[in-house]
Amino acid sequence: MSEQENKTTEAKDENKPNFLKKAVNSVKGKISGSKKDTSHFLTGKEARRIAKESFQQSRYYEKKKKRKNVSPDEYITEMKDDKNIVEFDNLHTYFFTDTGVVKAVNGVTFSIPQGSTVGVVGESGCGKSVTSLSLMQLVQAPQGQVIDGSSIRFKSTDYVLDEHKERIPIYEYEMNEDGSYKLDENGEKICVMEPKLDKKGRVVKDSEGNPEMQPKQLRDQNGIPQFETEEKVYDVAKMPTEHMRKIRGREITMIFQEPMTSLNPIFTIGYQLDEVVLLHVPGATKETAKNRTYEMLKLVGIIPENVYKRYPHELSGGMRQRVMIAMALACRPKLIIADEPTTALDVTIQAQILELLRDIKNKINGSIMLITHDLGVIAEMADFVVVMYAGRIIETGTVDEIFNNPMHPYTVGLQKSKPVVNRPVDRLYSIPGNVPNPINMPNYCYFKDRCNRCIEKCKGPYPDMIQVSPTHKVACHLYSDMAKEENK
Amino acid sequence: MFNYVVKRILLTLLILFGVSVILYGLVRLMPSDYVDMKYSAQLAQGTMQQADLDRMKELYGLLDNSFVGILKGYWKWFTKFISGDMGQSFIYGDKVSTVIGERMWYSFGFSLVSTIFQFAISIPLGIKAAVNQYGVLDYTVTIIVMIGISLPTFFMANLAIKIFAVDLGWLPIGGMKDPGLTASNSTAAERFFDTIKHFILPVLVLLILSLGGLMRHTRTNTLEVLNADYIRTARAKGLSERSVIYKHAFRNTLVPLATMFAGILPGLFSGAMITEEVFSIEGIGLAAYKATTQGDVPFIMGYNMFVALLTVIGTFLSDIMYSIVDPRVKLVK
Repeated sequence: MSEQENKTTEAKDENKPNFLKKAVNSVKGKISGSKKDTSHFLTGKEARRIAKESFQQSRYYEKKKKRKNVSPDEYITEMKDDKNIVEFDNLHTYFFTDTGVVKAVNGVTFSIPQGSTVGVVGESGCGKSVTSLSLMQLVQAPQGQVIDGSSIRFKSTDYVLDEHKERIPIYEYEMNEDGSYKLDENGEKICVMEPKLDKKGRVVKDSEGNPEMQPKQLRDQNGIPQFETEEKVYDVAKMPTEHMRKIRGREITMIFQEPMTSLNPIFTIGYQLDEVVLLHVPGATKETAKNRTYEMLKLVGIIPENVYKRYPHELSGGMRQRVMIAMALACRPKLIIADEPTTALDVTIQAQILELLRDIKNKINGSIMLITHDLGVIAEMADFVVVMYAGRIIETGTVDEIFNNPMHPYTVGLQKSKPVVNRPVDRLYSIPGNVPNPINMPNYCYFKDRCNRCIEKCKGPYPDMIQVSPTHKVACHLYSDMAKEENK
Repeated sequence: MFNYVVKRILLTLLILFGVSVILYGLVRLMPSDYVDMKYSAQLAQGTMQQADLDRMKELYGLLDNSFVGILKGYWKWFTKFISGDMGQSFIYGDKVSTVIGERMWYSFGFSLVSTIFQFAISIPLGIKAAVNQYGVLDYTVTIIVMIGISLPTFFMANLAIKIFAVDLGWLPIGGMKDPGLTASNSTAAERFFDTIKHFILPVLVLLILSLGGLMRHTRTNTLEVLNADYIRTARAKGLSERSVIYKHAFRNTLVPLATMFAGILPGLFSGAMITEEVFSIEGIGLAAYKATTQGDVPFIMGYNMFVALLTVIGTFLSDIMYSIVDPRVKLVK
């Protein structure tokens, strides 16, 4: 894995403009030269140089994201496995700060299968949130950028456009009583016709006074017209923001951890929910958007009439999180990212919200990427688990494998530090030390300094991902022999 | 709401009373008074005796400077003020209310124009600067408005006169109208445009001076709002950057700006002392300046009470603005 990573970094160096090559080289040089114990000390000159390089880098990526009129061919790709909805492939998200490059996400590869819940766990500051924000292109700009060579493939549903770049409506066809389509003499399906209405809702009449007829477009129960759709795979890392906006809020939605501050205090709940529908659903009117909002509020267990005209400050935290979930559901997304959705809520509300999320996932047949540091939540909700540490994945597997057979010492530590009811314990275990400083990471296992099962090999380079079972992978030197034996 | 308004009005009366006491005390404690200043030359030449001056002071009610004397003077002023009479101005020889009423509108006119421009320019600039934080635009705008805010009024005014009036000769040096234009030799439109021409420079100077504060205020507020969680939510919804900034962020930026409205109302009517002085505009600011330097007690009292009243009303209006802009604020109790 590290070899592969080196290759990609080299490859991407070639594509970069000159100043970037210099910047990358000098950063590399700094890492290798840090043995002279200058790592805790920056001279003014050095600080200025680093700040300048960071600025240039972030400007390069900002410009790239702000390009206009980019042809979609640039970012349309194929999924590696068609069962997946998202594939993170070698994702690097760096923050170019004035004190150096922070590698918040450093070569993360995992995928989210369709219709499943993937839990991402780890301590604070290990890159969970940044991974999910990278998928949304919402990383704090201009410092935070997804680096060239990363790719995030997302299987999106898009509207089919005809030659005039317009959406193709789905029409209602006349049915026989047995449920089959009525056919005309040429064997084609017959459209249901309806009189054409002008903007004020009056019937348009032709010169002879007969109403003009047009084929009737299929509408859902809220009166929103339907259009033909197709599946397309996009590489989010290469997409300009302009195009990404059409996916955000419609195909991928996000629930944030702070329901108290995540809703705009000066707009009513109804307005904020309608806004999403009006923005993403073609042909939606104020009335149909309101219908959809009501439907979504009912789905999350709120009586719509009570909150539609309320302001966020008039609702409790749990209610607001429900509103956030309703907002996330409004356009029937394929993926919901839940970034610590229960952290700010009290325990009884937590259980309700988790129950709601699970319930809803089944109803809309979507996937959930659940980010949390609470292993209990993961055990309850997730199908697959990804354990992250200092910007890298250290262990991934199904929820059974991670809980019954944790392999990486960090995963074991995490589980030991979880309070368990009904078991007498002397004192709750905690992993010694802190997550290392993300600037100038050493080139050995990042967990080495906190690990209690270190072996001689741990002084070596960063361990590769070792396949333990078809679904279970771990990055730890303890198991490298096991992998070799299997290879033999 | 009704209770709230009544409570505010009662509070206003109390505040105005306190202000008037402090003001009157300060004015009377000034080391020299109107009579001393006016007749100091005659006294030095010996054409007038101290006894004559004392008689004059008695007439103006300035003689007794003891604590009791000041209290008596205040009571006299207060009873008249209550009945709606602000007294006779010493230097203008007219009723204070008439002088204020006449001159206020000149000051109001050009302050209003300058304030409108101030808001129209500095709020968009502040937002732009915040969006391009640490960018070229941000630094350029900040440096320019900071120059404007740091230089003193008289310097800026004289610089403007030097460039636009003396060197280029585009605009008049000062005053409010061209004395050559009379009703007989010009049309009303000509006279109107002439007045406008005279007011361009004062408005410009006032504008340059006031841009900085509001622009920096807007910039700071916008930056704070743009980092808020709900802005991230708005982006996550897929809204365009434009509607994120001008719809979701802007209304929130306005909330703290609403308090700024409190300062506008008195500012509009009270005039700009130094600018009016430099451009010799017969506005209320210049009148107040003269009154203060010459110890015109009734006018100083009248003018400052007028400003105090406007300030209190301005604060009340800004509270109401607050409740309109921010749904979380409710005016109760």
